[in-house]
Amino acid sequence: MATKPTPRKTRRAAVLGGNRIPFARANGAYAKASNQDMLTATLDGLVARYGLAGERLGEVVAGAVLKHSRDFNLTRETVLGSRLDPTTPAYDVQQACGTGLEAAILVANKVALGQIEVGIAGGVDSASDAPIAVSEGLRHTLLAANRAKTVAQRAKALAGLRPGDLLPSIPQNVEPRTGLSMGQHMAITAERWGITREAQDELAAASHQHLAAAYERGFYDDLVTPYLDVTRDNNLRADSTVEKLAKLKPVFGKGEHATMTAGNSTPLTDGASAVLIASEEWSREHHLTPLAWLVDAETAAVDYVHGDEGLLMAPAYAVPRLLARNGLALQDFDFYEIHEAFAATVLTTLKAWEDPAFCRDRLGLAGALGAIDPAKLNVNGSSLAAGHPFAATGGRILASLAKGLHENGGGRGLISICAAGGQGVVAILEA
Amino acid sequence: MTDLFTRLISSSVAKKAGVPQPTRLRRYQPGVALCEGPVLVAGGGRFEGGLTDWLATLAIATQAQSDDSADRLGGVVIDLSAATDPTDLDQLRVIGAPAIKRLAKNGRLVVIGTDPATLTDLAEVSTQRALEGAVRSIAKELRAGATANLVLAQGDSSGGVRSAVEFFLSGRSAYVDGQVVRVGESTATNPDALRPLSGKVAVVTGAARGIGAEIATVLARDGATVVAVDIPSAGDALAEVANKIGGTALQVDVTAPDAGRRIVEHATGRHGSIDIVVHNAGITRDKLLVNMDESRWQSVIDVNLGSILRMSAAILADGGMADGGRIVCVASIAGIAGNRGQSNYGASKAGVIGLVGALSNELRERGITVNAVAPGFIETAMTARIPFTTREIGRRMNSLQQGGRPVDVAETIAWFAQPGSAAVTGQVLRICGQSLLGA
Amino acid sequence: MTRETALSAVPDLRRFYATAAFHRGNASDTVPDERVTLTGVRVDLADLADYSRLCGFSLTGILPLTYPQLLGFPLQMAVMAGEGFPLPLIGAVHVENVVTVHRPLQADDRLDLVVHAQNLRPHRRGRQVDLVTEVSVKGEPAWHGVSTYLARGAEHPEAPTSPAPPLDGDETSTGPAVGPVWRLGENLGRSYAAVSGDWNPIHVHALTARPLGFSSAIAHGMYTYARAVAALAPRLPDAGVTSRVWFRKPVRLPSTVRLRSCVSPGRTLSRLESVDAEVEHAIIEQVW
Repeated sequence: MATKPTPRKTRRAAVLGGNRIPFARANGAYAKASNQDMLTATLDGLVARYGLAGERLGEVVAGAVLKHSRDFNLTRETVLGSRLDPTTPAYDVQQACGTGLEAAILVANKVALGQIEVGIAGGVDSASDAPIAVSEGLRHTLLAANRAKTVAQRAKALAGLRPGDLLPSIPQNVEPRTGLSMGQHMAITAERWGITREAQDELAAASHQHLAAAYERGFYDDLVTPYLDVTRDNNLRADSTVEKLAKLKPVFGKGEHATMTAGNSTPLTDGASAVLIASEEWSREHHLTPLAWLVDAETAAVDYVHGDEGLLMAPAYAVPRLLARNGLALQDFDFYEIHEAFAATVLTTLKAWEDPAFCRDRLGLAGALGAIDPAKLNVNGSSLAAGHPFAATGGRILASLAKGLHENGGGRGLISICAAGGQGVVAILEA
Repeated sequence: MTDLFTRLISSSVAKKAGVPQPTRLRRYQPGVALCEGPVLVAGGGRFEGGLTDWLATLAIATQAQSDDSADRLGGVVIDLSAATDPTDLDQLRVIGAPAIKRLAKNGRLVVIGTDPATLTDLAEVSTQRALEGAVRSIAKELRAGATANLVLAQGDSSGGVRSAVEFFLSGRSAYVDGQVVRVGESTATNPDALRPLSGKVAVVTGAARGIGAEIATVLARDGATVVAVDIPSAGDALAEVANKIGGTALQVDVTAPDAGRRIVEHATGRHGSIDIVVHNAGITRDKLLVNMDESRWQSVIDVNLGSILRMSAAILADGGMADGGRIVCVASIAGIAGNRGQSNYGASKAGVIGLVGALSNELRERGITVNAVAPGFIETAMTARIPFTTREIGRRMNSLQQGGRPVDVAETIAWFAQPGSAAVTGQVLRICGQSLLGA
Repeated sequence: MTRETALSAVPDLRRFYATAAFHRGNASDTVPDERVTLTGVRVDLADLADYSRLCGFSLTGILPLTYPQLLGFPLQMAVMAGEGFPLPLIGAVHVENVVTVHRPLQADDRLDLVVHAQNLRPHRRGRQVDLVTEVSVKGEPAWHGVSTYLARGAEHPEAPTSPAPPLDGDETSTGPAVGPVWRLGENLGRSYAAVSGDWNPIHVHALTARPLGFSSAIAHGMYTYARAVAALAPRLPDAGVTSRVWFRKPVRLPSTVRLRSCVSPGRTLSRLESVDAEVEHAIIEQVW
């Protein structure tokens, strides 16, 4: 890094490219791979693509939603096991499914402030190699035994153990405050907004078809590096159709309102992604072409606990704030990347923006944000087809959109990602 | 590549039982002396003096005639470029016979002649053509890893001759035996002997594994910045290669219509130029012709030959390869001698040889050389899967009585790629230990 | 003349349950004029932590709204087990509870507790009585709780009722049911007994609940109430709150329940119900 950082001057942060391993359905191809394994492979793929072997970068920021306690310093450990210069600093972040995009925002902000010249943002998640914890009873007993000073105290502590304490505690994909799974939450929101089964299946089929087409035309050639003999996202069904999806039984919701199936919801997935972000100067010195600029970002959260708002509705709130700050209308974009946690998530968000009452009462706007051109939505496939390893989704979307904008010869793109805990992370890219 | 059978025949028991033992070949290492022992330079040709002076600059002792000292010779260079009459050929015997007796393990015999194609006198043409038969025969007589090769000079090409002699004397040519190389005129030299490819940007296709990975590694060792190219589905292995050598990985299928453009864009955009292209990517889909389906035939022809033709157009267009560039193709002994069950593969590789001949002529004015290597039996993961009897025959049916290694192919390619090899173009060099197969 | 019984230590509740069968109550229509006091009570932080974790409160320096109830409960038992108390200990059911917090209680405050019974009155299905718990710090009233217990007996159809506010018309009663869902395990009664000291056999195990007329163990009302208060706690001020619960059908263990709430400025109104919304377990209203 020949350029000396110039502090106290904001500048543009460029997305130079990305890498991910193909996403794999949980308990399948990557069942034995740890978060660190997958993130290292992803980082090394990025290093190879951009010739960064032995380079010291400003920082690497990444995270995982499901994390072992041994992974307290996951990203730094990953850097140490990668081809990057081991003097590259790193830290972990976690904002549920927003982790990957939030990491990118952090790196881009430091670049913008001149604190670093270049950094990598990433995310990884394994639903297969999930951290299984000991029961509360066993944990308390072990901690007490550990604190004991004498053998007798230790024996006494251990004697308090009950057989039931030996059962492991497996992490559950539920909101701690509501006890409901994300799907159950989404089903409630979908019912409220009257999202139909047909619309969800249509969106799911389009996601698969778009992703398959993008692979076919080589779009992912420089965005994906194979891992453990997986060369493409193995959740992808290129022959997916509305008719086939219509045959699946609903898994969330009840009775006539049960519209959400395994086909129009994302499966549990393993995978990792990483994005290279740098200043214009660094890009030029390294002969790398910025694919797009990360212009601005916003996060929002909603109070979903007692039912005031749907769990995954926060992006609906974040986007108008972002639009207002940048003086843009919802229609001022060439591409929209709305994370498909569920098909219903995307459809609800769009419907909310078209709803004058929602926009007025909830968003405090004069009128509806309006509709978007569906032909600009998730044009290269999204999570329903690719899968959704929670923290890795942000990096997947960011790199794909940046490349899409570059390929398009310019334009503006909107990213919207919903996250557990009623949160939403959104961003604008321009090329 | 040590399997049980290899270990068995290499064992001391086998040695005592009289199974011939292959010699561990001397291979190139940067900074190590060109050859082990003094070099006898004789024959009275027009390059003799220049070569003696050049060897002196490398601190290699030379002898003008064979003495009776017990010193083992590292190499013997017999310059018969001035031989005009069949009776002159006796010099080979006069100089060669005592010298070969003194030749060290892994020694080298390099004979220099004049390319008969540049001559008109009947006696001269036949005399020079005779050298080829003699050298190929002597190569078969040499033992203990020693090789014999022939350099044919086109005119007064002292630079070209020196480059070829250096290659043949060195460990780079360990598995090249009984071969002929024609060299043209050039005064080009390598600016940096230890890193001859320093400052060059090299593209290697099929670089994820096997021979391609070795080519990328050797080019990087010699100083090149390497763009490692392979199909997207081999991206993980490709990334490992690229990271190991500090290059960049480019995932692209060489048969894609825009493959050439993407390669040029990547190399020039990221690294500023495209100086060396090694067309190594290749596939086999073996079947007897009577059982061959269309996809097997077409895919082999397209990957191994069609893609090179298409990419060459983009690589050689404006903004692509600069003048003085290097193109090296990986052909195959199957493209020369043919191979049962490989009519598609043999066709594609013979086609590559044709391409090298034609394209080298076309690009001569731009100073771009086009050459090919034709590997014989090279020990790779692929050959390890051949049933062992077949494999053992393949391995042993050559003058060096062993299989070559991927690095042997890579070293020859790296030599073609050197700035100092400007005089070498249109050549197809077999790396086969003088296999019994083929011409 | 009020009788003052000053306790020197927290009584062991298990003793009351062991002898509960002997307290059959009587026909008297007044409650003994007795005040049971315990002064200088210090909260054990480890106990508070266990309680908070089980009920879902954040462990802070301030006592959860429901916690003084737990401290006062042994005193309530002492009153009810006292001579001449008209209601039997066995079979008395906690039907209502009102708590008013005047000032936040710090975990390191020395608490003075006074409990007395009052307002013995007829109920449609028997008789009910209020146990009043007052907590003060250095003479300053801080926390006031009224627990209403019902003893089934002679029915009084004409007795006035104390209806819970209706949820009909509220946002929570229309559309899909939304709110925290809790899976309450079979061992919950024992877990709560361990932190509260309330080892009433109807909560402990199906085997101990059965002789008392329950087919399974039932959750402590004060647990489900505390859990609801904890879920809403971030919306509530630390003091000036009146929190009221009407206990309806008991929560059998194990079971899954949902808390549906309507939150508005100055008030929360919630319904604890079975997850299929068929059974109403409790109504919780909090105003400030």
